[in-house]
Amino acid sequence: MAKTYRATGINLKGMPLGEKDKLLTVLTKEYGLVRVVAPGARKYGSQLGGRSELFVVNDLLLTRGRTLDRIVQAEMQESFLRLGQNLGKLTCAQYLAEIVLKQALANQPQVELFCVFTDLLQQLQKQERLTAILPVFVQGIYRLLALAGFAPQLYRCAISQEVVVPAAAPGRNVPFSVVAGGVVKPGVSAPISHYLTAQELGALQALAAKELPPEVLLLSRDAWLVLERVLRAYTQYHLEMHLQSAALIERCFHL
Amino acid sequence: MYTPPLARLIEQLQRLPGIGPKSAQRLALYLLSRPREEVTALAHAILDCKEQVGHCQVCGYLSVDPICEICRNPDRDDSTICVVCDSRDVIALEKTREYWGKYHVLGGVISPMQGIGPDQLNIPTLVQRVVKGGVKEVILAINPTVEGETTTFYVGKLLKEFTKVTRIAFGIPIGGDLEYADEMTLIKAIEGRQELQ
Repeated sequence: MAKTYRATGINLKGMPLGEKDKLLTVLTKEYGLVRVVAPGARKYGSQLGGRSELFVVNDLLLTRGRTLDRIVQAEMQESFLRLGQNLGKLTCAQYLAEIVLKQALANQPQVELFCVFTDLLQQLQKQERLTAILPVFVQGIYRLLALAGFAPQLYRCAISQEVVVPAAAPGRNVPFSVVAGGVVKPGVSAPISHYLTAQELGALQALAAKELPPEVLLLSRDAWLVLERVLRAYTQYHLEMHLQSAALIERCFHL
Repeated sequence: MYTPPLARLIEQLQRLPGIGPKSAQRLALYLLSRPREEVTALAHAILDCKEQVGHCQVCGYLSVDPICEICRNPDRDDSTICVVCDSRDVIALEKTREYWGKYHVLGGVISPMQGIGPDQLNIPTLVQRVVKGGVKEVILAINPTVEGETTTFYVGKLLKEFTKVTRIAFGIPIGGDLEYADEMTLIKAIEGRQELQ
């Protein structure tokens, strides 16, 4: 096995290591999730300082170590620095990064996950209004779940497989079961976690589309927050994780 | 391999930042070789520090008294507050001997991934200090990381309506070389360019 190797990766997490190094968790296209040491990255004037920042995409030259690999060279390809200028954007980006950290595999190519995640960050970064961030973010959660093969069932009952048609009457009448894996017919024996309106169900179904239809984009902020809560509960249950960033979502979007 | 008290000491030393198993063993054996008085003094210093040092009620900096020396000092400029994320940053700025205002220590930066939001930081007391009046300028001296940037913008937005808010410049270090600067630093240096006086 070669002692050095090249990879293109995005920094998902960083923490101090020793006096002046940084320990990075990087999602690479070629090798999936890798934990690498950025030597001297915390030293004043270090060339790795900026390149080891959160959400920076680098072309990396890495060397294999006994326990951890080390960065020999890094060349920045793209950065998402402007995500930091807005608490809502940073929270959404870190929320998505938490899901990626959980679902990414090590020692395996993760080209699709890398491309989806960087695309989501680009979209989050370019949104100007706070209300425009939520649809991109909620669709992002869905896209990551779908990529992992965990997308919730939204057209047929997760238990009986019958087509679910929302009742004509307004109100929250579509039962959703996190444990069963999606929407369920009223009356089936499954623990119901949420009740959705027909409009919210329509929006959830539209999340699979490449571009959200205009009527879905017009959904209220509260409706998007409901969808986020549904997908959050679903993600936490099926990926067996706790999303730390979720605690700040309500605060960011209720300002 | 080690006798139980020595193993316990090595285990405790290993918990310190930057101390690995080898360093912990070296330190433990060194401490064993020192006279009893020296080791007792070290143990007392650690305990005294833990028991006596707290945070200043005004600025959040480390202090033995309820109000720290910097906040009590009448010679310091009350109208300028420099906001930093950690007490270590106060020490670094004090070493410059150029800043004569007061400080405010936030106690960290906003990091949603680590569950640290604005409520977990020392922000409300800063807002109170500024709202009370008499503050002409707040200087935000928070590390230029993505999370530091969010904290800077968040705090700046809160305080902007009450006083002038500035932030420290960042870019090429003195004695540095453009050729070797990373792209992020160069972007920031160009964004923060100044007209020649």
